[in-house]
Amino acid sequence: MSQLNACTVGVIGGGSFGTALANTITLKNQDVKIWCRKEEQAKEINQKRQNSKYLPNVTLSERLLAVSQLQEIIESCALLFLAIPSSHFRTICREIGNWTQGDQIIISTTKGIEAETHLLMSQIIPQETCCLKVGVLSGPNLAKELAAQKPAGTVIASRYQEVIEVVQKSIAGPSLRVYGSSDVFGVELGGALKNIYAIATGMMAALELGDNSKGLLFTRALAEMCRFAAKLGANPITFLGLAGVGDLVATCSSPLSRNFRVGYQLGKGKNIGDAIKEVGEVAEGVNTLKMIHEMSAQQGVTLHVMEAVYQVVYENRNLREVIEDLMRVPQMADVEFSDWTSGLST
Amino acid sequence: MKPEHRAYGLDKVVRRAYQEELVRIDARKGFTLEVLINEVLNAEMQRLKEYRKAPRHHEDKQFWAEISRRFRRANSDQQTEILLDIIKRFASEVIGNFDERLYRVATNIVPWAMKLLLAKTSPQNFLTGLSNRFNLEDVLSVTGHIEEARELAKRGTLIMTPMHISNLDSIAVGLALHSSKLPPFLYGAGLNLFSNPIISFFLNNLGAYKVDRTKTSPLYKNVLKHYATLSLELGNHNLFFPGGTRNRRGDVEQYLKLGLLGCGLGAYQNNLKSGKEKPDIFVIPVTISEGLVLEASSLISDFLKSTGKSRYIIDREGLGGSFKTLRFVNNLRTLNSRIHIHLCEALDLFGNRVNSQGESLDVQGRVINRSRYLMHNGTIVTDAQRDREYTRNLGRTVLQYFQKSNFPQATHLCAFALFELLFDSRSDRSIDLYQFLRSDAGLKGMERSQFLERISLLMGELQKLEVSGKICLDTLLKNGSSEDIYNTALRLFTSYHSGRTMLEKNGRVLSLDLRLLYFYHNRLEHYGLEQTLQSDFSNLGQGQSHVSA
Repeated sequence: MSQLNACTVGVIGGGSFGTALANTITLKNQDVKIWCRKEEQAKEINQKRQNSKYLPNVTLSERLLAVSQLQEIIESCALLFLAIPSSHFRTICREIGNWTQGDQIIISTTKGIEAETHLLMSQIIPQETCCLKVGVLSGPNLAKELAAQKPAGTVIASRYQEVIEVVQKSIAGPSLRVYGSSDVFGVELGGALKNIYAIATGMMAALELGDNSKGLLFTRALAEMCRFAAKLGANPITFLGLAGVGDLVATCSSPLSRNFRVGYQLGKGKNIGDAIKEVGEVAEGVNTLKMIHEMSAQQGVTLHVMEAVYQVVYENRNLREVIEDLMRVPQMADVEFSDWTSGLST
Repeated sequence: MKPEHRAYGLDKVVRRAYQEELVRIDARKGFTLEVLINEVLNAEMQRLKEYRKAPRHHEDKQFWAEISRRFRRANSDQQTEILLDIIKRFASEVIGNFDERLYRVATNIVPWAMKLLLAKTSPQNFLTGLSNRFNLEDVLSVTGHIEEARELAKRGTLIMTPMHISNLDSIAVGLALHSSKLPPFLYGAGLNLFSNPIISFFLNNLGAYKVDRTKTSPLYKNVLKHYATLSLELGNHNLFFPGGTRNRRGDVEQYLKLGLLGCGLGAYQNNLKSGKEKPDIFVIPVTISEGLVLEASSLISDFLKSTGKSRYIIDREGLGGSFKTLRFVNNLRTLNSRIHIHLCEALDLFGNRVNSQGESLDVQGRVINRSRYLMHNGTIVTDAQRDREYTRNLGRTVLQYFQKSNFPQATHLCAFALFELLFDSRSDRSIDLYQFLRSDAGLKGMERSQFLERISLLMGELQKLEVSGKICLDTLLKNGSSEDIYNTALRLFTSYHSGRTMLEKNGRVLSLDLRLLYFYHNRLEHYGLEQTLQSDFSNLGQGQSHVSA
């Protein structure tokens, strides 16, 4: 393998987020390569500066070079972002592993959990490649807004200071702020979990339940995310940041979010199959929901909202009945991880 | 360290430790040379007060009194001289004197010496001991990747990282490596062991370097690390107990101290930078399984009192050639109980497997260029934070190997079955582990036939775990009957710990010492076997929770 050029950045995956991220990085006068599975898609990006299927109406930078050969991009980039669906993550990582080297940095941007192993994406990378310098990019980063260069923030989490610095240097710019974290597990789990609650918010929006209920749902969702993550060893404080509250607010309140849109269709009375068809893109929250349902049972953690969404999606229960049940669950402390009785006079 | 390397080594360790202290001074605001010397001086003065009977107490007291006197009036140049003198003092104390010829003589003597010592402990052996050749195989079996280790020792430098439960471990591993025809290894030994002139002579020449665990200053620890790093660079194979101290709980180690393990990466980088012909350093995790543990009682007491503080490497207890140790070793021999030592697959310093050609492999078995982990734009770059993370990764892999290369013995399996069942059948569910251990619940016991059924059940689970590569089983646990396993465990437990750990009375299996039963039980923790017994127990309408502390 030829010596890596420290300035070359590669994005694996030509979906909406991968394309938006790659295009954002070019804003720093940085050459970026993007890998697309289909050769026609690569040709369209190179010749027309368009990715009409996944990111329509956005003119892509001249600094973006699309390729359809994985080996080419892996062997020429020191920094690689993986933006591929969780269902294909392991297979593509294994292929990538044929060419990776120990000095390369790999960042996962995929928010999901592997069905068979219940592993997060960043945990799959060292199993399938030799790379140890791994990170996770997560936060309120809706692809369409990112592509439109609207101001946004994101978190790069890694156990390696070098990874955090390199990513900050490579992608932070006038429209994107990049914050660092060492809680890889917490940041990644936040990104995966919030998709479930985006489905819930979509359902509520469809039923027009109002802003009070939205506030209630957000805070209970946050409490559940913290409770679950803390049980698995993450730091609940991480959820106060961009990868927790930040991502939850953006995903749950935006009609641009795929998970929100799936929830909205469910709220309008469609079944899950039709809802997914209507949205037309992969909504990671639907798969994540199944994993978290299994994992929370294994861990003995109660997640009422998650369970309610599961019943609607996978057990076809009536949404209004589920909400009635939810409103009857026992009322405990408002904020967990603090003694709510400490302020009471004795 | 070999005699020809001693002067060079001393000079190099002093220079490197001094440079590191300068970096430490630069990195911390308000941390000056004066503060640094004060830090060491205070730590040493405190130590001298606390450990009045420590070896070399008198000489140390004189040295530090002199340092203190000089320090009071020292200008900055004189402070530098003082720091260098302190580092030299520490370094000269640490550096051992490895002599290969003496090593060969000593390692040939040891088995014979053991034979004579064993003969003295038993009248029967006294009569027959001198005429029968002492076989190491009587008490020790060595399995695993021995050939691969020999091959890698020719291609680079080895770091053996054994589990640590008993003081006999250092002797057992030493003999195992020697009998496997592996080259000599350097290892750290407690300073107190050097107070006996005869032991000191052997330790000095058998590759031991001195570690004084009472010295707590960061400067002393830096000197130790630089010594270990340099010895690896010079091609000396090293043996570290990465747990740092004997595991008082009796389970498979769950945490490692990474300080000494991290020296490997430092040495590898220096080797690459200097273009050394054989720069590679390989790590070989070693598991040790003992059916009976010499100091089980004191270890579990330490753990339960939470007084087992982390220590460096070898302790004095049990190594004085005491009657207890000899009786114990003799018991092992007459009872046909072996200490099982297993050499795991070799790893590189990043936690990747290494094949016998010395190539690193990724999880999928593809050959990788390990030096690339240390490169940036094609050159080797030092990055302390990155390297700590690499070492953490290596530590995690070593722990995984400990877990999956654990060879439980009959005593562990029977203790596990009995303890879990006794704990689960306690009448008051609010009783916690500590209350339970103080109780006489062991007297209740359980029927022999019922106990044998549970052994069979656990054997089935262990065999499934073995098939999926999560544990290793010896012939007895793999092919023996539950009756064989029970009888073996009973024979061993009857022979030691005053026969209180597990015994049979009126057709019931009992325990008169739940603490010891708990200690042996713990070796099979972390495999999810509790659930197997739980579900079986629940079918009988009892049982809810398993043990944790």
